[in-house]
Amino acid sequence: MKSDEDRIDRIDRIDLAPLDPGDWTKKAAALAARALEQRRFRRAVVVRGMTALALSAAAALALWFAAPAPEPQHDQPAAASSINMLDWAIRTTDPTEALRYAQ
Amino acid sequence: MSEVRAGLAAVAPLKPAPDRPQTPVAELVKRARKGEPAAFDELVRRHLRAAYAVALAVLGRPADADDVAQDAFLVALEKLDDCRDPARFSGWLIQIVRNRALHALDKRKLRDGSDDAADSPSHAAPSDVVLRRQLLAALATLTAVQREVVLLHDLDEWTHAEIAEALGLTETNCRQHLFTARRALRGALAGEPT
Repeated sequence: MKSDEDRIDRIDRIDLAPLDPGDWTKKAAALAARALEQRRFRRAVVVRGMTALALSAAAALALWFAAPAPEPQHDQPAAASSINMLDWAIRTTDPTEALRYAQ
Repeated sequence: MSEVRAGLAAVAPLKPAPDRPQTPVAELVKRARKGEPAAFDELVRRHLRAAYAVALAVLGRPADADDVAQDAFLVALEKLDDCRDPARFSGWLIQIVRNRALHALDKRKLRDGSDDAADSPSHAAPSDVVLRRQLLAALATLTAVQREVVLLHDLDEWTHAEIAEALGLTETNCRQHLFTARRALRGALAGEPT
């Protein structure tokens, strides 16, 4: 029944050919090629970007591990004095004593 | 007997029934996502004219519609991975085409509208140009959905089932739109007041 209706609809169709620019095969082939090219280009950019990111991350890590470890610093009077100053705040150290030590 | 055969041949449709796809669209989309050139080619071949029809329904100018359809198709193929349901590629594509056509229409409204005659192909015969103008004017009297339905059906020979699925209509609704659109078009082409 539906196929009959479809057939009648097809027979009854209005000829819209003047609105059809035609040349679809050529246009479709060109468009598909362009789309494929764009897709490949985008993929290539992503792949190269990811590779570059991975390489730079690896290089950063290598540099980090290859760098000499900082030597322990013994002479740190400022830090020591600050610890002493803090002693005044959190322990029973006399403030004047702490000030004198800092000077 | 041969006369009967000749008679049958004479009533056969001039244009053969459209070759309906052998490979399901979903399969083509999946293959295209993997970058298979043949799948890209087939997808475009099957849908480019429909994209044009939808763009023409919105824009009403063949040259603009051609450009927009191709641009929209390129965008759709670029975003192919975003098509959540590959089986409904047609509907998804049509939505993209419609959006881009509406955007182009907005831009065109902002610009100064050019004469429609400039839109006619240079190689077209004068009678074709006149007919084309009449058809475009008649199409302009329809609603947007009617234009889409009649163009998809009569220009690209989509079935009601395909149109209904792509446009989110029921088949009955689609038939009604086609019937009304054709009546209005015939009336407009015959010079009847709408």
